[in-house]
Amino acid sequence: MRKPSKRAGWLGVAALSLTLILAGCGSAATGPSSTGNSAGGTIKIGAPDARTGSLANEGKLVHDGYTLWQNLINKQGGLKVNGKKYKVEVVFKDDQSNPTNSASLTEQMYTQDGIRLFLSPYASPNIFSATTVAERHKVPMIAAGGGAKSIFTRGYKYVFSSYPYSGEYLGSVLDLLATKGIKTVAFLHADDLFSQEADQGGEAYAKSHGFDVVYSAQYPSNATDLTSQLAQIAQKKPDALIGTGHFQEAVLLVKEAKQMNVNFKAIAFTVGPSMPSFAKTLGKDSEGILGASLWTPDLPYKDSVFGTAANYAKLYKEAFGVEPDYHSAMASAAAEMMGLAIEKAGSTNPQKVRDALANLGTVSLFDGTFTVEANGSISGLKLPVIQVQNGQTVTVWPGDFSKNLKDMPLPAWNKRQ
Amino acid sequence: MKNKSLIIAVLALLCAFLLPLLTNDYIVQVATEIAMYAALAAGWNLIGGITGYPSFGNVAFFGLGAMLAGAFSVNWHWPYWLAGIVAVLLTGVLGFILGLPILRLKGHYFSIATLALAEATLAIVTNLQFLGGGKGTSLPLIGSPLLFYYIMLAIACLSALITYLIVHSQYGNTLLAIKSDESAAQAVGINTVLAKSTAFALSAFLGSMVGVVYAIWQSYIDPPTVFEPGITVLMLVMTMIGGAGTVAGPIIGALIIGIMTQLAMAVSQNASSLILGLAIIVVVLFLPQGILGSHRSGKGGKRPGKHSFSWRG
Amino acid sequence: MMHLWLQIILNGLLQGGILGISALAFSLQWGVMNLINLAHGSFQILAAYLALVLLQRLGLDPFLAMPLVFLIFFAGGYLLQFGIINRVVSGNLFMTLLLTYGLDFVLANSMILLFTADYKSVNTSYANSSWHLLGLQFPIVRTLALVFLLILSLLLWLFLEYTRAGRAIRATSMSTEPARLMGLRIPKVYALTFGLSSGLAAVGGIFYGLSNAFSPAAGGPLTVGAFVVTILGGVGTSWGPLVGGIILGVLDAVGSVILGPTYVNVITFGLLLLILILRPNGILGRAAA
Repeated sequence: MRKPSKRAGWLGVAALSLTLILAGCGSAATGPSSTGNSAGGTIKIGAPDARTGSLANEGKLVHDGYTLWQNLINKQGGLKVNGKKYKVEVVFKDDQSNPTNSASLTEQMYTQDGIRLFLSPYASPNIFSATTVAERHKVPMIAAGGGAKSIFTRGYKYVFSSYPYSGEYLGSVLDLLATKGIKTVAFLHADDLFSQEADQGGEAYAKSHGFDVVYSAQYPSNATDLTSQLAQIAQKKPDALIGTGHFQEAVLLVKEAKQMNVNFKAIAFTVGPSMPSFAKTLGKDSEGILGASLWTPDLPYKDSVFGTAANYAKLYKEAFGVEPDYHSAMASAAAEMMGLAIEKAGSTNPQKVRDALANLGTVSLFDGTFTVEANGSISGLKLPVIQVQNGQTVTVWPGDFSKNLKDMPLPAWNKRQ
Repeated sequence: MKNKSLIIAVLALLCAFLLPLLTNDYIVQVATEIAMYAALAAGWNLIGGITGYPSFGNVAFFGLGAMLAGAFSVNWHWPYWLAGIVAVLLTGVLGFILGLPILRLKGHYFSIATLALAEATLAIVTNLQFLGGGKGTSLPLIGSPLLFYYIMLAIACLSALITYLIVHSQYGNTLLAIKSDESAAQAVGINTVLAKSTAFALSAFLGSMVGVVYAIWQSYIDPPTVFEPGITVLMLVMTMIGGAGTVAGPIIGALIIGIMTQLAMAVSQNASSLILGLAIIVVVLFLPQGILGSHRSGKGGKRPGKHSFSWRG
Repeated sequence: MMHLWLQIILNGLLQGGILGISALAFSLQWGVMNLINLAHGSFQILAAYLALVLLQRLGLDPFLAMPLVFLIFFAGGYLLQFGIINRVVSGNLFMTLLLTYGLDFVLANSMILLFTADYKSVNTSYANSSWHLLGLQFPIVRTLALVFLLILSLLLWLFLEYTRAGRAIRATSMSTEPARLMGLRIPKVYALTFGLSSGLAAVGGIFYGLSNAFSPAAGGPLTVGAFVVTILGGVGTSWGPLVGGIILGVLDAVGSVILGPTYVNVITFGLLLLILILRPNGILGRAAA
């Protein structure tokens, strides 16, 4: 030190003692971990989920999805493990949308709170980080908030998911468009992991199903102006625009398409229309826009916890005052998978729960029928498509739901009220 | 006095070394992060604190280290240690070369040039499929948390050692001379360009090294995470809180912010960031010289009566 | 084809308006007080929320609400500078950075608690409409942003050039010592400057809220954008944000079409680096000393 002072010395000592205190806290907290998950008749499940930061919006939806399941299970008396009923508690910690925090909070919950079963944070990068900790400690984590294929191709044994692969999101949308005689499509996507995978999957599907992809471009996440891309797209006169990015970019594209008076027979997004704030934010301009979705309240599926999909929506609205979108439903489904596995394993032992999850096979929940694959991902989920009608989301796919379809082709911007 | 500092340093190192014996994996994880930020802040201190060039883009080196090492090991199947060494060396050389033009700028202009450097690097990396692109890179899960703790600790110690050696060397005096009056330093025949660029390269070298270890520790990296501008701001905040230009400042700053973050999270679930923000404001208002209080401000540091420009309408 | 390019250049010009109006306050704070305000973006987002609340609760159109929002922010900014920022602004340069960083944290996270993390947009009947002139599309909000930027730059110039308060601000920006000797109360001048720039930030924020969807976390990119525009145009001139905004807007628009939108940030920040190295004081600024 160039200018050592007494103050420096004392502060050094203070810092050291702080370290030791912190160390003390840590070792004191290791106590309860030996009692495992079911201390006091409650099964604890950890969820490092964003409350603040750039993912706080989706983080809240996931948070509410987990919470709804927890409250409902407890109201029903708890999970039945070896004939005895246990209450459940989902323990949340705010990862501030930061993947490094997702990992360290998972570690904290494992080590200090003695939690052995986990639900994931939102967004693929955060899932990547959090699952490495789960994998190191050999405890299961069910991902609800990202379907990046690369999460499941790492050879991990303790990662599961309630989401299909991101690359499958657009299949149903394209099937729907095909029935409406749409031939030419323009794709615009953001540069993050999820958007790239969803877009590549969608473009490949489009090409193999007879569509003509006339435009495709990648823009940086959080773009604030895409008017020039829309002007370019207008020159190609595609029937449909498919946007794969984030909520704010979907809103931006609709606003700017109207401003530039670029008209399409159909507009679809992967993220955006399914969230209630989409119609609220855009008002009338959101009418008729299609959204790739993973779940809607209209689907004909049911299970013993939530009842029908419609009942799920009812319970959700009672609890949180808003309609659920698929982020919440898929989070509840992930929690439900965890509950199912615990009951099936007859134990909260992480290894046994993990094995039960791996052997779930084909299950039917309120979000649909799917099969848990060997790598922990799921397959077979039939994805719905929604459309914004009168400010509400209406299911317009699969199958018979297509009779609900309105505004197809979309009226030109200047022909709307 | 010198002996006392040495004793404290040895004691601190001993504590840090023995920490895993006393605690659990979570504390080790937090300590790994603190060591990581201590090393990053110490790297920032070389250019920002000692030389007086406030970089806003040091995260570029951290990110480059992580993405390059990841790309070499995944795409070219190099063993990770080799990928890491090459990444660190490349980043260091890049820091030197980029430093030559950028370090001609002073004060805020330098800050912004480095910010632009970091953002441009992020944009380029996002567009290079070889580096993983926007999708990021997934690395195999190897090593134990304890191993990464000791590696990060070693890098933090290395950073402190480098800082110590520089501060007590002729080179350190050169940097200090640059900080207090660059044109005077030039006038007495000091090659300021070389001296500054070397400091920038060392800063890049340390940042990159931390990035390389971070990548394999986390096992998944993507550009928005490793080029997050907030990481640079944290380096700056920690250094300023601890005391810029000192050997121990960045380490103490990293400790304080690390512990404050933990306390804020313990106090409140959804307002921890808010509490941290308030804490920073309080520190600035009541500890404006940093904990070590020996921040010597040169021309760039202390606000001079005269600005570098004026309003011209 | 010609027509397409005209539209693209127009888009760039209009985006320049949005960028420039957002940078006006940042540039003023920097130019006068040598203060880099890292909370700049969050100020703007807060103003967008305020405009939204006024629209939803009182049915007040954002343009009618603008004077009110300006005044509220002026008062808030004045008090903030007088009470807090002045305590460090004359000291170490980095301390103001730290302080505004802490402030940004507080603002962004308070907004999450107040307004939730949901995305919002200030949606009026005209927010997504445009004027159709000469075969080109002029989005109303973006066009108005450019017009407002022109007017505000002019007003700012007139204010700084021809009013007593403005002259005091300019005198302080040149050098604090003589200004003090001239009997100017520096803290008051600074508070006035920060108040004024907070008001300007609020105006920029309303335009952002009208043209984009925003959430409490959206401030960061706005601050970075203001950085870039300020440097491109040059610090310490009322016309800097206008020039910087237009240059950046047009280059991004043209570049994103030629190279693809994914390279926009490479262009932006590469250009910024180049300008800094070749002409550190910006396009309008003096050549490097």
